Amino acid sequence: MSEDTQQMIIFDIGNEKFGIKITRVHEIIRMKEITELPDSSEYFAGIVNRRGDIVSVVDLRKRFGLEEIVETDNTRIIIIDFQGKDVGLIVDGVSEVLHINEADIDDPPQSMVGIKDDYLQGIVKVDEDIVIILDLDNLLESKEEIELDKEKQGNE
Amino acid sequence: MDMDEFQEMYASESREHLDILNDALLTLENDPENMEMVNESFRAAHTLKGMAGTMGFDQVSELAHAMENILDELRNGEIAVTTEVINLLFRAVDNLELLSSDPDQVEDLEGLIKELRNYTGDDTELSTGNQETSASSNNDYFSLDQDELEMVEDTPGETVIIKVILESDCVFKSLRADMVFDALEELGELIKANPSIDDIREEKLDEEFQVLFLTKESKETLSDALSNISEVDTIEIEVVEDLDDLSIQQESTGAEQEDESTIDGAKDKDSKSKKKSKTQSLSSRLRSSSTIKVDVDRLDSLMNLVAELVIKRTQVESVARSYDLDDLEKKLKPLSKVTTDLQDAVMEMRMVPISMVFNRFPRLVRDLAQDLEKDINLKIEGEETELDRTIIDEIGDPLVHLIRNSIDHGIEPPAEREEKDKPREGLVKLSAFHEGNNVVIQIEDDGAGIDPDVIEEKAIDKGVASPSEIENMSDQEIINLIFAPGFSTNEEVSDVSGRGVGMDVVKNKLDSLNGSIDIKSEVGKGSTFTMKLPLTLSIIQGFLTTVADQKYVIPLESIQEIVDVQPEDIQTIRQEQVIHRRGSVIPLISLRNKLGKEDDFEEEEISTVIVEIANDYYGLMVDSIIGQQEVVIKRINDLSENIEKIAGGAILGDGSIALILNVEEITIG
Amino acid sequence: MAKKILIVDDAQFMRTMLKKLVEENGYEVADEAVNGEEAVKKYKEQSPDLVTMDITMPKMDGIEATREIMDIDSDANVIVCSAMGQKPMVVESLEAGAKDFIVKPIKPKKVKEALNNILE
Repeated sequence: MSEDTQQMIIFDIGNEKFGIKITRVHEIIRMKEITELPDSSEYFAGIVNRRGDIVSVVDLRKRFGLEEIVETDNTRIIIIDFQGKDVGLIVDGVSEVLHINEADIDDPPQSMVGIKDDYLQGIVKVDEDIVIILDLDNLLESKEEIELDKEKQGNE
Repeated sequence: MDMDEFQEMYASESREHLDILNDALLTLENDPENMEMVNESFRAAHTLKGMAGTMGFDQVSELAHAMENILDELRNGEIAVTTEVINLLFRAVDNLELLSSDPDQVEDLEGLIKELRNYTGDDTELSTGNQETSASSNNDYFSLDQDELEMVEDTPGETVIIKVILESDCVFKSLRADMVFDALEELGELIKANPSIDDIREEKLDEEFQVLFLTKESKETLSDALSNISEVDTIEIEVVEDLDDLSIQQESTGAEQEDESTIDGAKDKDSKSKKKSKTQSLSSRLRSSSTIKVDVDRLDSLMNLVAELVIKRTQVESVARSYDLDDLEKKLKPLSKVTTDLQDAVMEMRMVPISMVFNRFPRLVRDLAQDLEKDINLKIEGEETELDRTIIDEIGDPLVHLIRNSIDHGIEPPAEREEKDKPREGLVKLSAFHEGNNVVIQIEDDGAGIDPDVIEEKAIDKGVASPSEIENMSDQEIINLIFAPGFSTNEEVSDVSGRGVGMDVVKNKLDSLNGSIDIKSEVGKGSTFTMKLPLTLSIIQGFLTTVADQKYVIPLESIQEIVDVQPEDIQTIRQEQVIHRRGSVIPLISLRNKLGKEDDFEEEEISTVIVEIANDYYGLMVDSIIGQQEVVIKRINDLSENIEKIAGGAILGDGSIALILNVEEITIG
Repeated sequence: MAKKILIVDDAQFMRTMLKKLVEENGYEVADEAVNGEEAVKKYKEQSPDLVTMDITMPKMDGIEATREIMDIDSDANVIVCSAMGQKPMVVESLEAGAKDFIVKPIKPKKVKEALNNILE
């Protein structure tokens, strides 16, 4: 894509930090009451009312095969653009917005904490942390089950 | 559900009063001598105060009260109309709006209320008190014409003045007054009321009214008869000893009385006559003269009746079919057309003029122009263009965004405009018109226009498009990049829970309304944004039901009837639960079961919605039926491909989501 | 003996609230009905001292139910419960024979007043 730096929104799921390009993000809203839909796939949490519009919401924890946790004050829904439609991602919290140098983004390793490289765009080191940059389109399109590496979780 | 209706009612009514306040203050700012506007805003604030109080919205009520006090002093000439006071009042109006729309954004209310109170130089509650007592003290006089006076003189019995004070939170004051009149009618002769009976019928009364009454009954009898009426707070009965105490109306007394000691009375009369002229001026501003105002609730109930009629018709049709009554079926055809036409006609009545949205913009433009130090002339055309009221509610925000954009980015500062040989004053034109089945809304400015080069640079910078992609784009395509997600997102996301509003949000909104937006722009000359919207939204009538704590809408068109099924009526045939009804066997379907919920619901009677799909009947068992409701269908982005059982979503009055059932899929699938 | 009241409302929430208020004021709930049709049926069965009647209900609305109850018993005491925007319906109910009305959201004080005015 483009050169130089880009802004990334950094969010947490479990013990991992993930990044999405800010240009993909419409807005970040607080957790809202979710209406479940019958027969939907497990990770598809349901729909929410965002100022009169209905937005579909994906539970990234479930998408990554993590156990459910009680929502906290930090829980957020990141509304992103997916194939021209708004989709919300439930995340444990949004921590910061970082300027990330394109050059600092490394290619993803073959398999990262259990996530296949199909779903990764790259990783970047920020201070002590590793931020995983997700390939949202592949992640949302695929129905394949993903399991974040439990051992890795424990070690963190 | 009633609570929702009520909330909505409050919301729309308070919206109306806020619009009046905004308009009146704007006019007043340009024409500080315009006392009618002061009165108009005073009344709006007063009404708001009362409404909010009844609803228990104390903050709104208090703020409105503080405004009312300032307006009262403006009205009495105790303080002058200055930019300062107008700005203060505008701030109060803004916060009143926020209190209902976005309470988180409200500024320090106590501070603001204090500021308002300080402005009146009086932080006690006196002013409203005054207002209320002034309304009451004037009521001591009735002016009678010659006929009425003769009637009083000729009728045997005593003449009494009955003063009735209703409880301040009484909602339909006029009905209580009517109940008082009814009770009195059996006890004597009603001569006159103050305020007049016509005014009372139109709810033009405060808590208090007086009746001039001829009777042979004792005070106690009268008092007993009246005290049994609910919401009557106090009753005072006074016998008129001397008929001369009653003023006698003469042609030319109005002016003289104003100078006399009955100032209060005169003032009240005065304000009353103004109230009348206000209602006229206001309604003529909003609507053309040949229209009448219909309560939305009444319209909705008409809508419901029509829907009811449609159900009944389909019931008769199905009887005709099942008994092969060809003649009846033939006769029913025209009936079916009439009901459809009737339905369309009611839908048409829901159309409201777009001025309901446009009305807010003079104020918005004024504020923006002031903030940005630009001179702006806002032209509005086609404000009488009609749209379904549900769409009207939805397009406000996008329009605000576009107007902001035109003023902020489009119109150049006055000095720059002069350099370019343009008039100092920038033009923003807002217009609406019908085009086929669409409504077109345009926002046009004579500002700097959109420069493709600038867009190109920003798009690359923001990572919306790559340089190689842009190379192949036409200028128009480049300009359209402003609708791309991420293009107009704020540079810094500071408040992570805050709103990100950009052009992409505008486009999304229009998409969700099945509309479209496009831009024409010429560098140096200006830009035109054109929005196209369907005339009506996809609205359906349905029955709102609950199944395992979730609300579902069953579309009315498939519903035959709603029955309570007793467990003993249920039979099991070939492992299927069925009921017998009017000679046919109807399979029962548990919606809990179909929708993947636990099927452990036990009730004595099971609410069951009988639907007809492809000439077969099914009984859908639900937990409960809330009632009939009209909803706007919203598409659900189908991420998980197996939600065929749900045809869409609908947002209810309380903000929760109801799912619209795809009955065909549920019964057959 | 405590006076008996029939509560008619399609909303469970409202019935519960009214029931509580009725009992708090020393009256007895004769029965509850969820629509006008049921109200008329139960009125015949129970002959309560008073009926609280919601207006907007499925099957048969409160106005029609009031009319039918007045046909059965011209001395019936019906109090209609209306929403704020339903003034025309209240007028119609009063014409149909309702003795009083309460406006939702209902306030305990007003319910008490209306009940006492008729029953005391």
